[in-house]
Amino acid sequence: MEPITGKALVLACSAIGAGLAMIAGIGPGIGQGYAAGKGAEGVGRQPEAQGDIIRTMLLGAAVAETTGIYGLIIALVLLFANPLIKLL
Amino acid sequence: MENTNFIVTFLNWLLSFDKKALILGASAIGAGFAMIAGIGPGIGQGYAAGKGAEATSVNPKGSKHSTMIMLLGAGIAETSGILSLVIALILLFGNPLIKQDGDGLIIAVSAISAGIAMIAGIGPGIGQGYAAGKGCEAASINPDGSRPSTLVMLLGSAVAQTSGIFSLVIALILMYANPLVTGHQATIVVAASTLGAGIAMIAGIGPGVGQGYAAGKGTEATGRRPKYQSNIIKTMILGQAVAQTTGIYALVISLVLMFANPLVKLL
Repeated sequence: MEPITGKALVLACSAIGAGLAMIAGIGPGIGQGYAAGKGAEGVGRQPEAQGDIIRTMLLGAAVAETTGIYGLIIALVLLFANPLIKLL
Repeated sequence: MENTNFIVTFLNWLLSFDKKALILGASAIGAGFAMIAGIGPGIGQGYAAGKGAEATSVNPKGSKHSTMIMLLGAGIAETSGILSLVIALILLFGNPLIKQDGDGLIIAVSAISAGIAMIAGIGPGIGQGYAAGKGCEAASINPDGSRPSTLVMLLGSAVAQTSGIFSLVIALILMYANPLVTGHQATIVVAASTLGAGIAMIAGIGPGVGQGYAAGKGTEATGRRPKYQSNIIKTMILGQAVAQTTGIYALVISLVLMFANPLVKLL
């Protein structure tokens, strides 16, 4: 195996960091699933309000998505626009 | 002679790298750790969204009002996610550690540790989201009492943020003023202490979730009986203060590890 350079170390750590950042996806997954469940329950109770219920559910779920997107952004930055490598 | 001690071999391998590369690599890992906090707001805001949908089905006429309360509460639940994002962005784009003098290994561990500390944000995110959900539930059941119950929601959520702020403080100290960085012999003990200071803060998950639960129940109770708002607030705050204790224990241990480390003196 070829010797590991400093650049290779930063890049390897960036790969680990990108993976760690994505763990955040646990949260939006659970939360939005709960919202979907409550939405289904709501439509079951009040079928004529389906449109309003879906609108509220999707609005709330979009807010719940944000931290997942933050994690994704950090992972994408680490992968495609790594600012650390320029500091070397 | 080849050293057979795995840790020594590993540390020697790490130290064979340029100090800068070591710190930058650790910063990438730290930024990744910080983002894990996003679990919290994700769960909490999803709960709020579910309660919002439920509120719409219970009281379709008041759905605009309960949606507003849901968004307000969800906005607050976002705080710890944003704090983590800020720490990650600082590590990536404005890294203060790279300019520091001192032991490269310890500075590198500071970056990872700052990220790990931010994981505590899971707690406030879940808790405040629960409070937000209870806020829209209260508004749909008793629209007249929604003003006092929203106030209780905001107050309780603010308290639930404390452990997230403790973590932020520790992360900022680790990045900008880690006292362990300079002038020590026992690198392994100091580096491990730095890591421990960050890991300790994960305890903040507990008070965050618990205080948020209290905030949610306080909101629910106020919505049902707005007249008793002050009694409810008093009970809620008292309980939240007790729930804060373990978060404070973690903060104390973290500060002791950094500023008055007794382990280094034993060597």
